[in-house]
Amino acid sequence: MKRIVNIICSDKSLYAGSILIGIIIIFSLTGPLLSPYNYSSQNLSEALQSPSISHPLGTDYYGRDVLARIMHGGQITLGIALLATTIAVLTGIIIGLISAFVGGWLDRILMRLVDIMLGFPKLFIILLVIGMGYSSIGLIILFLAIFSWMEIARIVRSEVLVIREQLYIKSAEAIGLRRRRIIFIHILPNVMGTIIVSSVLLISTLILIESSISFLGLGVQPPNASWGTILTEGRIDPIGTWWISVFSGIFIIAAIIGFNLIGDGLRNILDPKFTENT
Amino acid sequence: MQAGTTASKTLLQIQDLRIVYQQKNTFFTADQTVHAVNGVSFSIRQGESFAIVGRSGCGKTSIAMSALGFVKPSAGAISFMGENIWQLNRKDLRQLRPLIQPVFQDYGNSLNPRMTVNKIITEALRTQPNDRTQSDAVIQLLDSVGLDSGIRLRFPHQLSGGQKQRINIARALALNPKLLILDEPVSSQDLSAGVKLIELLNSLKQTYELSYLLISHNLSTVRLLSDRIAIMKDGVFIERGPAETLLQHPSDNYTKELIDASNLTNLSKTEQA
Repeated sequence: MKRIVNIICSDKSLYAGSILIGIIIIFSLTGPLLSPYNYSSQNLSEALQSPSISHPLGTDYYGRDVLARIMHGGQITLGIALLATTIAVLTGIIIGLISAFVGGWLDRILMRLVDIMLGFPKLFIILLVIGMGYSSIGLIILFLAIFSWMEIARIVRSEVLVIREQLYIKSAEAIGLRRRRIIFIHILPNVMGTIIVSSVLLISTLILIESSISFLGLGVQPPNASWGTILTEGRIDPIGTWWISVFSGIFIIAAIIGFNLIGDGLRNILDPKFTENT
Repeated sequence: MQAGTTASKTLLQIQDLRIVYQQKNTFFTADQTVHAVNGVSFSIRQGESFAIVGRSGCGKTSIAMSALGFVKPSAGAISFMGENIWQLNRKDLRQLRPLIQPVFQDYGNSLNPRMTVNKIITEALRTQPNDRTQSDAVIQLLDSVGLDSGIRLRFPHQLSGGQKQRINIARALALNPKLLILDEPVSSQDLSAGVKLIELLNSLKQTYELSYLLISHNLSTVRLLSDRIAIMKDGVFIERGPAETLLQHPSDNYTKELIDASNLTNLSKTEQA
């Protein structure tokens, strides 16, 4: 644990990103437990109050506390992005490994599938399906994952194709190790740095996509809240009710900056030449 | 004269080996066929050192990679201890492989950059039945190649070129091999480090009853390590024989050129030292 803290502290980007994301996660997870307001409780007599001591981030059109909604929305937005990224990354790793190791016609088919999937206008298809009335958080996660694994698969395939020709892999084959061990102990750890960095950057992309879908009213549905849903509630009068959109927007930007900083930092620390110096 | 030439059992036998590389055409270029090895035959007996010497691109590394099971021959046979390695199934080949170990020319790239020295050698040890603890075995192997046990926790980028080369040798020794394939073992070393490494290889040969297939472009290196030498040019052996005889009485002009080139290289290295 101490070593992890030391490593995080030794890279400025990672340090700043970890602090930012740490604060957002703690805020999202513990906030609703401490807040006197429920994210969905309406109180029309307190509607559209600007920030004050009793409502630090103001209230929305239904008198719901914006702070409570942002804290709850953080759980939804981050949860969707993290789960979709996990599914996409695991799918990408499996398909990339199969493509690189099996090769031949299977490799060609999988890579053409990647080309086709990359050619789809993903936001349009997600909007189309969800707009047909099938909106649910599970479906959003599934769609985000289905349209996000391809970059990871390509990265894994190309990295594995390079690494498997390295002499240290030839040496591992020469000592008689099984193929499974060579893949998981000798090749994959050397690809993990790139995968982790890409995954972290994918999280911020998916936060943005989820917020966009919700902003268009097709994502997380009221009374549930995500940061994108809250953002859209302020668009009726963006100047007069600025606090609704501005604070949720700040959280979206902060989360994206935080994950990008972590991605940059991880790129450094996952290089063994770096970890050795810390 | 090297010791160990009296052993009679044939370890490696290569018969009429041919290796052809096909380069598929692109939009701008036609198909290309490169004949890297054109009918090479030789054998190595137990305890013997056989060297293949030639300039870059003559096909010597292709022979080594084929003997290791990495490059499939276009024709010919490679037998190790009586088994044709290219007719073995994957499981049998995996069981045979520890007996033929490579020490690659690019010794830095031969070590996994994410593994410590301890882990690199332990990976080899785990494929072997061993009555010692792995930690003791690693220390003993490091000692046998002249390295201090304190080096165990270092990563490859923290090692010098000579240390990396010795780790490669230690890993190979962990498998109790019969044959070491040494690809340009001292090409990147300065003269004094090169001499020390040659002394180490000669000593290990005695201790572990090893045979060597030595690949080099430098005759002065192989002179100190080999019992027999074959001179290779354009995929074929143009001259071969016992090391001392061939070096003192070369019959081919190409061999004479290589001997002259080796003398110049030595002179240059001596001046640098």
